[in-house]
Amino acid sequence: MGFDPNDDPENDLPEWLRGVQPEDENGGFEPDDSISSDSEEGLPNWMQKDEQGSFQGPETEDEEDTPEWLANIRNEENSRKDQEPPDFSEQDDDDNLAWLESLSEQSEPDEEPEREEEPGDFLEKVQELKARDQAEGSWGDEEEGQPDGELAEEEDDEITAAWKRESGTLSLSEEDDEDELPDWVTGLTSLDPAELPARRDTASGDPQQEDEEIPEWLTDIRQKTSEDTKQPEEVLPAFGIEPDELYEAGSEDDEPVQFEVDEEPLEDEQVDAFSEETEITGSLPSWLENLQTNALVESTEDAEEERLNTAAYVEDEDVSALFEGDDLPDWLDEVEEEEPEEEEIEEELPEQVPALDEEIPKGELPGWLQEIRPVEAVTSTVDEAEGEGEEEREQETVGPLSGLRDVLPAEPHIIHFGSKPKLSTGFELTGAQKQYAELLKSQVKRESASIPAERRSVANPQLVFRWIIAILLLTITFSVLWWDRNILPLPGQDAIPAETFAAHELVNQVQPGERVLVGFEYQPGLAAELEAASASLLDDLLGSGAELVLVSTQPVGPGLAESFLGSQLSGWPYISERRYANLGYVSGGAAGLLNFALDPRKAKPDMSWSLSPLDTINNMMDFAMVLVITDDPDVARSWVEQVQPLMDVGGSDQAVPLVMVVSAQAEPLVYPYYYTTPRQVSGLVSGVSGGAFYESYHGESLARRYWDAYNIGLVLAVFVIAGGSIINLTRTSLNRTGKGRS
Amino acid sequence: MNRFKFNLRSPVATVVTIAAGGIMLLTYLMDLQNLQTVILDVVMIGAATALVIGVVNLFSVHVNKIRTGDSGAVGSAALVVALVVTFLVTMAEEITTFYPDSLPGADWILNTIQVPVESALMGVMAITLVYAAARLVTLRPNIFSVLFVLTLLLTMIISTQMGLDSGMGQGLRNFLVHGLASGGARGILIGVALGTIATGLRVLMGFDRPYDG
Repeated sequence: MGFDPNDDPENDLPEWLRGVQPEDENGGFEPDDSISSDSEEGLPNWMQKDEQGSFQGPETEDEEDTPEWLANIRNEENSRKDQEPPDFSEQDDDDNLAWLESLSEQSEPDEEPEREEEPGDFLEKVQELKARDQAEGSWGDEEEGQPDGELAEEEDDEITAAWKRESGTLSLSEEDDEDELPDWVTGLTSLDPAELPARRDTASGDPQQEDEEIPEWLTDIRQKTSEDTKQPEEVLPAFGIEPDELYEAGSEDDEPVQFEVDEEPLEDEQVDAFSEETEITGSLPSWLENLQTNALVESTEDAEEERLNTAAYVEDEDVSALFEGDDLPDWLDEVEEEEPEEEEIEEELPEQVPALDEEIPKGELPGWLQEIRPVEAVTSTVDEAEGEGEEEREQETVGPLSGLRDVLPAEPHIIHFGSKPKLSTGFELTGAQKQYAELLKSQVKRESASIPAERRSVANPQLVFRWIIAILLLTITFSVLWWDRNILPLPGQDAIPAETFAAHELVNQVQPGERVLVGFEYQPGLAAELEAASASLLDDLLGSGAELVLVSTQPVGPGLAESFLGSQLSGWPYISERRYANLGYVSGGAAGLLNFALDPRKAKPDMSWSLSPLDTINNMMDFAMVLVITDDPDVARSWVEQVQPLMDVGGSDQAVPLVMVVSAQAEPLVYPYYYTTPRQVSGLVSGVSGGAFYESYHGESLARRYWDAYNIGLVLAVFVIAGGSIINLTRTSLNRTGKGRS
Repeated sequence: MNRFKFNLRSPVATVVTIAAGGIMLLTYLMDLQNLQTVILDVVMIGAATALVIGVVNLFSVHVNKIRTGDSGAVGSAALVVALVVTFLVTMAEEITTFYPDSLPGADWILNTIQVPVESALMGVMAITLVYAAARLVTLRPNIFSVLFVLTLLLTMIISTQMGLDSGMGQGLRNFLVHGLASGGARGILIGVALGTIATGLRVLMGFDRPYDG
């Protein structure tokens, strides 16, 4: 692979331009604090940045040994620092110009013209490299953004412009008044590269005359610099280049030579070459030394020129002897003493710079970017990595492809690709469906929850009216009951309803000893009404000598029956002696009632069916009459539908009569079973009035006790309802009339 | 596997229901009284068991209410105490022989607590109905409210001794109670009968499954 040092922008850049690079470009290299602290005080800012670790200024330690031209530079720098704000862009430019101007002024009678032509050449090369970098996208623009890049460009441009001005001034002065110019400027006028060989010849032709004019310290520097020019010959082997090749190339043509150089040793050796340059040179500013060194490394043509110059000046001199002279300033001795530190730093530098032979590490994604990376990308990458190894070692062992390698592995990819599908046993609900489900669940839960009744705010007049009604009804009713004077007579026998009269006749047809089945099918709340309605009828039955068999499909029925008989009919020995049979509760509602009607013995196997009055009972036809006392029309219908057909088998005249004593509220629903042909209900007594009618035939009983209170209560209720309705209607009509008038 | 899982309860319940209904219908059409008795015995046992289960469920619900400190915890506590006391007293009185007759038994609890309480509720309802009837024309002053109130007043008047004894009262009572009311009730009963037949047929044919089949 061909290697052209000029193509490498990093190698092309002089050291002072490298210092402008950010720390990252330097591979995180940070010079020692001791070095930087000393060098920062007396150097311009741009040199403080650039020369960190490579140059240590001796100004702060020994002011007396400082040359006059360098002292002027310091004074100007200090004055500029005091006057100007710390603006790096302008300050660097001013420092460059001031330093260069002061350098040119101070060294004007001492500098040799040949030494001044090199910076001009290098600056032109720097400009070319900068232009190339800008065209390719320089590091400064990419890394530090536009402001810093512009700052560096402005800085370079101004430096170049200063040099051009200097050159222009020199050229003009050469043309106008050559006698007024100093010798070294006069020498600069002939810095045209085309004239360099002639100048060299001239210089080499009379070197002793020049040595008389040049001061001693500059002669030392020149010798040292000439020693530097030998460096390419020492450096080139590091790049794998023989000096002979360089000479041959330079002799054949002036074009740059393309060297075949391995990249691996280049980096370290190149850095070593730089370090050697820094070690040897010390009398010149570092940026000038770096420019020289870079130029030597970059171009064989320049190396050839340097070789010729060096051969002209210091061909046979011992370079080490130059540095042992007593005329060297002390700060240069310190520089030599501190060179090992620089070497240490520069030895560390290759470690900081990534080696070319090392593989470029794989880029690591940040954590946040790895998290949002798609799963397929990760799994596919893993699969590929695994697949490569598997394909290399996998070999089919079964089937027709046994023994073959690199067979398409279908199954492993199926297994390893992506994450395993999650099998869900239930429904997969979306968010909206879950919301709907939660809403439905809450509604169902709300339905089952008991909602407390809202307390209505009632106006005071209504509360008073309500309390007045309650007090009137309760007071008058209880007063009449407590008074018990038979204020109102019972209804007349001529006014008795037919159904009540039929019931009375049926009861009177019961013969002594006949069994009568009595069903107690009412609730405790209506017990008073039904007891008043049925007391006279039961008393009539007991008077006729009937034997009672009690049964109920209500859980409280047997208890109410015992209570009723014991409280109202306990005067009969039959009742007080408990000779009746209480079959108790029959479960199952209508079905249980049917079951009992079909076979009473099986329905109630726990009863003493061998004893009286049950000994003669096998079915419903064995009863002389069935009496049902109920407040529920549905229960009455069940008896009619389930039991009554079994009491009239075949429709003969020997059918067992079904008599009902019902509450007044159930009368309209039970009456149709009476008012039919044949009658499903043979007799019907309804409410207190029915009991009063029955007592009008049979004699006074419980209905009589309630009759006065019942009638007075009804009348009072009628008055209350009528009065209230009239008042309310009147008030409403008056309000409407008032609104209409208004 | 879940794809092949199905609810066995549905077809079994349907088959049992249709079979029981069909057999029960046949017992009315044919002389199968013994079979009918057997089926009804099963029904009675099931109904009795359901009653016990209902009592246990009622007890557990109110115990939970007491434990969770629900708003009706006081009422639940009263219910639980009354249920336990009544059950223990009834069982001791009916099953054992050592329970003395002088001590209040189940009849005492029924006659002195349950009957008065429910009767008092009926009395309160009577007062409330009177008050509501008096306010009816004010809340809904229309012709139907007035007609309803007038019918109510007439029915109450003819239910008194004056109404029963008077000829006009007897005629009016026959018209209102045995005519209008009984006619309406008969229509309701006919409708119930038709509905029962239709529901029975739908259940027998499996169209209706009120048993959650």
